[in-house]
Amino acid sequence: MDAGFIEHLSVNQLAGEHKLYLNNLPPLSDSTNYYKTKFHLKYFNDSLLLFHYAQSKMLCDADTTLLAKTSAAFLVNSDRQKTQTWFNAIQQAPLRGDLKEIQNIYHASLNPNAFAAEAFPAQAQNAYSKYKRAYNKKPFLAGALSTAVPGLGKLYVGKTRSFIMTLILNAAYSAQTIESSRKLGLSHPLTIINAGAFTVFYLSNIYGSYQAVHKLRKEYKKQFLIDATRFYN
Amino acid sequence: MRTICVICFLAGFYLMGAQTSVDLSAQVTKASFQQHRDHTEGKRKLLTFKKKSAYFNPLNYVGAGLLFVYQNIFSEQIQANCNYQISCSQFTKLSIEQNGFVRGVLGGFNQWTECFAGALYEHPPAFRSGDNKIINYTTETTIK
Repeated sequence: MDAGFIEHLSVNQLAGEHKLYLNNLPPLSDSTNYYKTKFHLKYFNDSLLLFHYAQSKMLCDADTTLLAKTSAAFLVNSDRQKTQTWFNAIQQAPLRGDLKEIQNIYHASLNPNAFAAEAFPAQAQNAYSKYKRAYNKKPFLAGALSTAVPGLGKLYVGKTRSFIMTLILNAAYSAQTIESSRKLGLSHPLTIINAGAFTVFYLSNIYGSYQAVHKLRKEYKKQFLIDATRFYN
Repeated sequence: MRTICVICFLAGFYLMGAQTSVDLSAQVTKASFQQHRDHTEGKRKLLTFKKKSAYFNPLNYVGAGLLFVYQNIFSEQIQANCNYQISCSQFTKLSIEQNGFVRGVLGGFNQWTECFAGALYEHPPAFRSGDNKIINYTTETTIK
């Protein structure tokens, strides 16, 4: 096994040749699995990475740079189950330096109340604070506020522009409904259409405010993990 | 009879001209901007419901049918440029397919309410695409 040649293939991004070379090495060897883990980290493939990591755990655990880079890659992985498998798998590995910080980031993404923003890199702190704020918002409260005043739930979530637009839109539809009911009567088709439109927009504002809390949590969580990953890569 | 013939001739002439101009402009646009496009929409399907029981709900057909008409007749004519990657009508249709009529329609109308230029800045940078559109998602395409 020529480590220098593997390094050359990796640096020059010769993926096909790199794979071919690794496939011709003895398959059961620890070193082969270690290099295959590195290969699947570079050309990210979560399933194969986990498989080869399990085959050469001792060797991989000794390489803290590999563990830190893999953990950073898993932070933004879309398959939540495999990310969880990875962070469970490295529990026994010696956690120090970057690796410990990345693991803290992963745990903070699950429960932001357990960590302060200062514990993380400066460029991820802003997104983390916003994620923490969104995490502590209550969807039902947002819905209730929007029931009382259309759009207020969105203001509670932090969407000021949406609050203004929703309020104006609902006020316009309600004014239109009131005017047509006064001038044309309640049973007039135009009043019914206006009332229907107002009802749909009013209900959608309540539903939207409720959903906005969930969406904002997910969005800022993703942003926090992306910012953190950029720092460690 | 003569008037009808003239009208038919003019209508046919107009339609042929419009068709040629649409084809030509579509080809030019495709050739010029294809490489710069971030998001290419596939052909819009009529109906695919997630749950089998949804196929027996007539409201789903009404909602999806109205949206199909809007997308294939009105939206094409007004050349609407949406602030979101998944347009309001497409989002509503996907939501109806995934969450049922009531939640789907409410979700779609909510996105419509939030469809204005400033809405872009209410989302973190990771959810803004290169062409300044909001990367939105339905239950099916939920970020993990």
